[in-house]
Amino acid sequence: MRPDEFDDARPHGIQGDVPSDLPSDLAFAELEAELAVAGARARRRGREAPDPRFAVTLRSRLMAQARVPVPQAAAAPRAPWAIGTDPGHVSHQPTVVTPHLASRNPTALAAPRWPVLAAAAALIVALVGLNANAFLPVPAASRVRSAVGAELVRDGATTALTAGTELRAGDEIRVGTDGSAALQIGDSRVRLAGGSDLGLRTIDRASIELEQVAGRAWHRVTVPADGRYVVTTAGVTWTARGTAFDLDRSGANSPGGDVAHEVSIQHAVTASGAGLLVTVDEGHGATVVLGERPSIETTPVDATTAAADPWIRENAATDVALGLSVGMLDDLDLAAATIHPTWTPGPVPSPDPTVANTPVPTTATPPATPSPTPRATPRPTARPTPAPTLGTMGLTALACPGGVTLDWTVPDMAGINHIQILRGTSGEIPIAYPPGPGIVAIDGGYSTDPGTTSGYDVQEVSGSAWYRAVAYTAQNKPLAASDIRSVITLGAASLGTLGVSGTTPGELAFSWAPLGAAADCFSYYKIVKSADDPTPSYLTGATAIAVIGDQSASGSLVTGLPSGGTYWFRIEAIRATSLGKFVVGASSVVQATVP
Amino acid sequence: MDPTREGALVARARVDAAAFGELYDWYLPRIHAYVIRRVGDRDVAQDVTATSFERALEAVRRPGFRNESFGGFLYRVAANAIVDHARRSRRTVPLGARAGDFAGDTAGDGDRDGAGSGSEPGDEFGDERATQALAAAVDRDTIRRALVRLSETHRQVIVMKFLDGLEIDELCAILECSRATFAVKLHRALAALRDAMAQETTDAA
Repeated sequence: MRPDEFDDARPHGIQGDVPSDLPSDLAFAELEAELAVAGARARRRGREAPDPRFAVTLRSRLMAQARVPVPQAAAAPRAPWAIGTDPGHVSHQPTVVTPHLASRNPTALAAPRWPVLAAAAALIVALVGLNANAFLPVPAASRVRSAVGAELVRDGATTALTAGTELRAGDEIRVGTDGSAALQIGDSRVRLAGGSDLGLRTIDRASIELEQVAGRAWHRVTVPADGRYVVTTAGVTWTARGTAFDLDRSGANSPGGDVAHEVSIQHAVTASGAGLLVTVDEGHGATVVLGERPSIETTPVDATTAAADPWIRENAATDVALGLSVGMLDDLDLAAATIHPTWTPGPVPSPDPTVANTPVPTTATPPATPSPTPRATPRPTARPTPAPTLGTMGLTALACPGGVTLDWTVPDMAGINHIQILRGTSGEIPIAYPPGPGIVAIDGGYSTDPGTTSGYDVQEVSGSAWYRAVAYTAQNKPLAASDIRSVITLGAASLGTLGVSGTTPGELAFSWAPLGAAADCFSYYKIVKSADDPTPSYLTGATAIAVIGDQSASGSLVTGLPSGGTYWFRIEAIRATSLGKFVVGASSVVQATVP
Repeated sequence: MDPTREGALVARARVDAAAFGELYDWYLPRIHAYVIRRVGDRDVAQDVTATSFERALEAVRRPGFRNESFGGFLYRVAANAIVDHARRSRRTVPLGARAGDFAGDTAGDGDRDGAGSGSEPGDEFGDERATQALAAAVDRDTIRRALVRLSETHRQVIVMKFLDGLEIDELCAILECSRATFAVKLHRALAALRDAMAQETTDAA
């Protein structure tokens, strides 16, 4: 039960059979907290996890059933004029067609309908036969961000991997022992260490499937709500969404067998395979011996230990520099980490370097046979600089409590140096820079990294705001711009009164009202504490003692707290973007002593 | 699971096995835990869990499947599968179910996938075993004793909320009620628990 549904009662939020003698919600708070703690304790005591063999067997059985095509006859009764004598025809009819046509005049549609459908079917077959991937656009951001000593294997041909190369399904990236590569795949990023080999099996908005053949990779996953991100290592599949994890298959040829190591840096990753279905929670690592019957061992990984690994530390530091959460490492100081230069976001390389090298026909050209003709008859249409065509950018603005999330697309144009989101107070936002009166270049909307396509603008009060994305050259000349988007901004949400209780030493149970905002406005909750700051906040450096990734969560048991310590506690709902974070909602601050 | 994502997966599950696979991966540990808390026996829990997912797959592949809270639907299917199993085996002790759960069992199993059943779920399966597990984990004796004094209706609400840790949409789907009505149900259950605690204190004195 969400506490807010009680807190607002005697429940004016509850309609219908509301008794008049409902007791005060506060009277139940302690009781609820005790029951929540007991429930968590009982769950820990129980042997409730399914047997992995059972899980895999049942999964296989269900998948086999699920792959049987859905019968259509019962779902879509045929119209009298439908071609119904041949079952083969029926199986190819979209179920929505028949009822749709049933309301029409059959004599008018019977003749043209089938030729059209046949043509459509033929087109689909042709597309599939010719490799539909060739016709479907790869996300523009799927490309090589940087590469050193790496190769691209495409259609059987091997070429040197270069920054800026667009990636597509079927590509394979091989990194030399001393090389490295950073890939942008949709909104996700993969950084490959030396000796790694990664196959790109599927790249589309709804599904990214990679095969990590060898070596080590840092996966920073950002997929839409209906998307999936899967990495396979032999017979084991790692599934994640909105997370960061390190996957090391450097032991592929070790004497002990084909071994893969995984560390869930932020949020959980699920490993599945024959006889295997394990969720590796944030702050845990897994070692898998691959093969026909893979085995897995998971262990908690201490943040300090993880950060002692240069690869993890450097990648985490890079993500932090990009404004991304690194979950289990969030509380560590990674600033001192050395970031590999190849991971540093840089400007888009010139798509055609030969342009820059093309000698300009000036006096340097050997004037062996000077000809007056060119000067006498210059071509007026060629010489004058044509009026620059402004490129098109996409921009979406989502009003969240406490701020606005902004997502944009960057056109594939040479010369773009940086992106700047402008905020205005009306539907007119000139693209000139510096901006004129009333126009603000927002901090959370400035990036020199073309791979960064999301930002934010903190708006703590309700009102209207207009936004426009503009791509500029290094001299602040606009090259591309988006349409103007408007939003009604919202003040930060309240997560109610933070309930704190506990009797077990070192443990406290927290409860709050879940954030009621759109899922796209939420990244995670952070429970923070401070011994001396009565207004602790995660964004101002307060220590986070728990991170909760489930927006609908309304309680959490935190263990391992220092007994006897008195702290100010608060929970905050955070929205993280590529350019930073903002507080979407916060609870009241409560002072409590850890039992 | 994020409701948007869950909705998208359910919509795709009719024709996409992988989508159902993802739903399965997410809910299997939850449903298995929910079942084993009530049946105790691991083999029985596996049977009931498997039955639940098979029914769920069959349901989502039907045209017109209502996709409001798949989790709630799944828990309700599991709850019904527990009762169905008990009816078939006629064993009450392993299920921790009350004799009253099986009263009037003349209609057969029928379509028990959760939609359209007009009876109260509280009449359909017991939760004594789950209540005992929750009570055993409570610190205060007063609460522990009071829990087992509650009526099944109140006990069920408290167990599903605090032991099973179900989301409100799931609770509402199982109990076939609105959020507002569930708020009232929980209020009443907690009030009853508080009254039972007071009674326990009085009895002890």
